[in-house]
Amino acid sequence: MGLALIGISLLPLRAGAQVSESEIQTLRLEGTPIGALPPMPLAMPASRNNNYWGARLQSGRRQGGDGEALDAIAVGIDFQYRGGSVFGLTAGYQKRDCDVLGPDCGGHAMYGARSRLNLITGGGLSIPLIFGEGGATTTIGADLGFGYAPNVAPGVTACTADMGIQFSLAGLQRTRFITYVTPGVMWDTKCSSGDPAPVTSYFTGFGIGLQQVRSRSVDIYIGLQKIFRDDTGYRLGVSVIYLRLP
Amino acid sequence: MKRPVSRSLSATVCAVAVAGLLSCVPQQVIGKVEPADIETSLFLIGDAGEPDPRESGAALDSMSAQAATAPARSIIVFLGDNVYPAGIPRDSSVEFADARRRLEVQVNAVPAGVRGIFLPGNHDWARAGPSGLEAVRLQERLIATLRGTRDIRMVPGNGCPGPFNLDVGRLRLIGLDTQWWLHGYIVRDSASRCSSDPGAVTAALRAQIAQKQDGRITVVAGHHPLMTGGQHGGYCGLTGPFRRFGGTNQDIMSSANRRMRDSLESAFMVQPPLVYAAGHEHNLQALKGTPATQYLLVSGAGSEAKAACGVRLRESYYVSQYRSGFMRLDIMKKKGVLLSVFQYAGNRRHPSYRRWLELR
Repeated sequence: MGLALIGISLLPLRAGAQVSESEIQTLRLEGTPIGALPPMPLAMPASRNNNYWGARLQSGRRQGGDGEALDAIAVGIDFQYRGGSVFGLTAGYQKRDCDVLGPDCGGHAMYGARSRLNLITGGGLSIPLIFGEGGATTTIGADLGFGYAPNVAPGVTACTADMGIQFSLAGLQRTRFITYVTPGVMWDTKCSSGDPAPVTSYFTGFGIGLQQVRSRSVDIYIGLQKIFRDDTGYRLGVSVIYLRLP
Repeated sequence: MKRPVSRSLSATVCAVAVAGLLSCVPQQVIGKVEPADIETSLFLIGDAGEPDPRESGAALDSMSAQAATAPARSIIVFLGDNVYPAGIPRDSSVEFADARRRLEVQVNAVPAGVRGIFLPGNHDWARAGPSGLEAVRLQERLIATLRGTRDIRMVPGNGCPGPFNLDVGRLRLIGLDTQWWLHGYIVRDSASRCSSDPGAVTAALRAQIAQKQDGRITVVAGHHPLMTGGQHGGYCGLTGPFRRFGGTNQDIMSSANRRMRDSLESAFMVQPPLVYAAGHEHNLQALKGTPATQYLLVSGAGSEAKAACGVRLRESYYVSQYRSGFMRLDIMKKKGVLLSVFQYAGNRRHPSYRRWLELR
């Protein structure tokens, strides 16, 4: 019965051909912020005396794999609690995969919520000290996110959950240079009737960035992410964050 | 249909270029400062209470040498934790001889003609223990014994919270005993000649801060920092996540510490001092101030054996970790205050950091 429903719902997707269950799962994975936008590191630590609000602009592009390049753009708002962990909301728009869905396929909205938990900052893992950088900082954290995107394909709603760890090294005294790795696991879940079953996927993000650019409050990151599934290609993008200092 | 990767790459290159351009903010150029242009030099060193038994250490030696070049205009402030691990015990104690040695090294680092000021820290209050009040008084007496004819003293004195006030030229130096606010045991007895009411202490501090004078430069010094990227701020090491949710009252997130900080900052608001200087963290941090203070300095790297981690915060101008060192404020005769940070690894001196402090 379920398979029949899937078949009916997917018939109009591509002229003369059905979209496979695997392709739907890939679209779900790549249609929410975790799959559509570039990875980011944990926020730069700040004073414990204050909470901070930040605005975020992100753009990402899926390249490679079997489908077309998928461009995405999003805005977000971040709340950094006591200079450490960050809780953020994201809203964006992604172009649909016209190679899969047919010409004039348009795009879809996407939404996400993410907590980036700062666990350990600094300490014995300040590896760049070896190179004489006295202001180097190591950060280890955890990531937990949820994503939702209606109509990633006609009649298909994407829901994802993900969790991962964060590891970053930052150095230099003024504008900070940061490198980061964000391995994790994600699930594209079944959030409308008739959708294919949930699938677990693994991913790793990597990026570099500059923190405290200009007025000490702008951060810029360039991230690359690979989801370890067939036909997913890789995700490359840029994130710019403005954080308001009290 | 696949599109060429070149579009992504060109977008990335553009983003990097824009970021690079944005980061090219002009930096302060600080030329040579003529000694004749300096009105007062204030040396800030904290947590120096664990000197090596065989040598005094590069930070103390270097600071002493710098102060000795112009003793009449130099003031050295020891920012607390002058004797590890638990301050000065009674002279009948087996620990007394070594505790005396630790203090003597610092007293001897104050050259003749230079004013020396010792502020108490939590370790001087018997490691924040029950005999803290006695320990801090014993230290005051021992400094009076060791100083000879030099102008060296422990303030606020007699286990009182302060504020202690010293005016030298345009400098107003206000000393506080911040451990008095946090101490969990007796802070007053029949020998005390000061208030035990935090409200009265705050009011006295507010009154001292509020006294206006043209060109006055106010520096407030205490042991505990108002902001920090060290272990007492929940950074540096595995205990960080726990210290962030309270920790002990020595940690910046604890309710007792927050009450103290709120009280001090409420007093500062009447006329924000240029600098609040502290120790407590075993690193060197120069931080952007708050509405209540213009600059926050943490200079607690007086003991090389204790030099520890320091995380650069978004508010930080400069951080030095795992190295000993001290800070120096030069109040210039015309205008301007120059901050210099000196850091050492072993006997090797690393490049110093300098910054003009802008007067609001």
